Amino acid sequence: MLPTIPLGPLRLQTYGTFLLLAFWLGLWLAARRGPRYGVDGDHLYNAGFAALLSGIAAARLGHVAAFFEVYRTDPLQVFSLSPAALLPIPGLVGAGLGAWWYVRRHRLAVAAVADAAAPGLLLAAAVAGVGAFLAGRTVGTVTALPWGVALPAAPDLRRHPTALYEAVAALVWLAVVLAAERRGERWPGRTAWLSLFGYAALRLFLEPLRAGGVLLPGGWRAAQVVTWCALALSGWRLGRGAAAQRPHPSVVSAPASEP
Amino acid sequence: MSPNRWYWLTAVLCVLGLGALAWGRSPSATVVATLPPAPLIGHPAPNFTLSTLDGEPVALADLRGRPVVLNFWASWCLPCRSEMPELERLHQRLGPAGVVVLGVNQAEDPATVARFRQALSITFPTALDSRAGVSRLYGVDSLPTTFFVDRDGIVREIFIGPMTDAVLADRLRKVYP
Repeated sequence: MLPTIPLGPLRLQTYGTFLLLAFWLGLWLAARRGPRYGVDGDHLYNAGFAALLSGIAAARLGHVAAFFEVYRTDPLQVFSLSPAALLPIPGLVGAGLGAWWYVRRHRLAVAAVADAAAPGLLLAAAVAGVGAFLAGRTVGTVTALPWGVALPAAPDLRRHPTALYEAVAALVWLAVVLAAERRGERWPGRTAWLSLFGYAALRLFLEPLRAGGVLLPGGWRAAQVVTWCALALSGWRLGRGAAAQRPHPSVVSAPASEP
Repeated sequence: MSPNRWYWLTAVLCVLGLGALAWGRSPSATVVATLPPAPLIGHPAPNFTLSTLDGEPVALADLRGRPVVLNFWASWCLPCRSEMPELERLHQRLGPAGVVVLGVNQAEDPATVARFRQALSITFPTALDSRAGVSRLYGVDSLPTTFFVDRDGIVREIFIGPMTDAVLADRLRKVYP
């Protein structure tokens, strides 16, 4: 495990560094793919940065709301540079709203932007997963399987390298999505829904191998409930999209009209 | 792929997914109290006994039943210095309620530790890890590092780096909801 990366006299937080790398690589791939969908790459970079800024602002505001008493006594902490004073859920919502605002403001086609960006998100998820594995952040459940990883802090206990599973699965699904894009039918939003479908499925089935995680009342894992819903929604949407692409039976079977 | 195939594939995955949901909910995936002591989230915190600056022995096991904020620091570490007032405020505010803030100084002589504590008006107890054995036991490779140990002696959160009041309050929720 490598929670920090030595850099001369400094030490970089491994996970934070990989998150930045994931953001940059995801954006790079999205921008490269933009022109294929008629979206200028610069728009994707700009939308990504709008998402980043609004996401950070929302994550900090969420933290302020959750710990208002602390911030009330020391309001300057609102501007603290600590990346730990952020809440992820408000951050994700804020990032989505920021990107949405940019796309609407520049009158871009939402489906085209989503199709261009979705594989970039898969790549980003894979890179972030590698960072989580190296930093030892996502600890797996105990296993006797030969590829189980022993953490230095508990060398006698092998665990599922869950973060690595997720990273590999995201990369494999990225390859599937890119191959399907070249071969299969094309309709606006297909690549984005396909990306979500696969990612939701892999998270749904890999999540039980994680130790810990956010639990809902009744002991259900929040990540699984969300991904189950995402799987159902994206699968239904892919079916509907495929149906819209197929010629209606009445059109196929109708006899050619006489002149 | 035809629409019907998508619908079938989705239905099958959703049904299997219900099984995965139940699997994720099973105690075998979440219960960690039987794990061996280790400085990892979910494991019992490794026990240690050190002396405080006053020469009093302090053992982590004796603090069972109270949430413990275990902070590894050294006087030469500037981020450690920056978070000391936050830890002291926490000690003043929640110490009477049972929350223990325990500093572990890494391999410095007692006089240096005493001067540092006096300069920053620190009153929470500080244990002297003179040979850095406890730091090694806890795998501390950068300072400050803080472990949040719950009432049952289980590590619930590990934070590397300095904490603001808000970050401290956030992480403390894991052991003192």
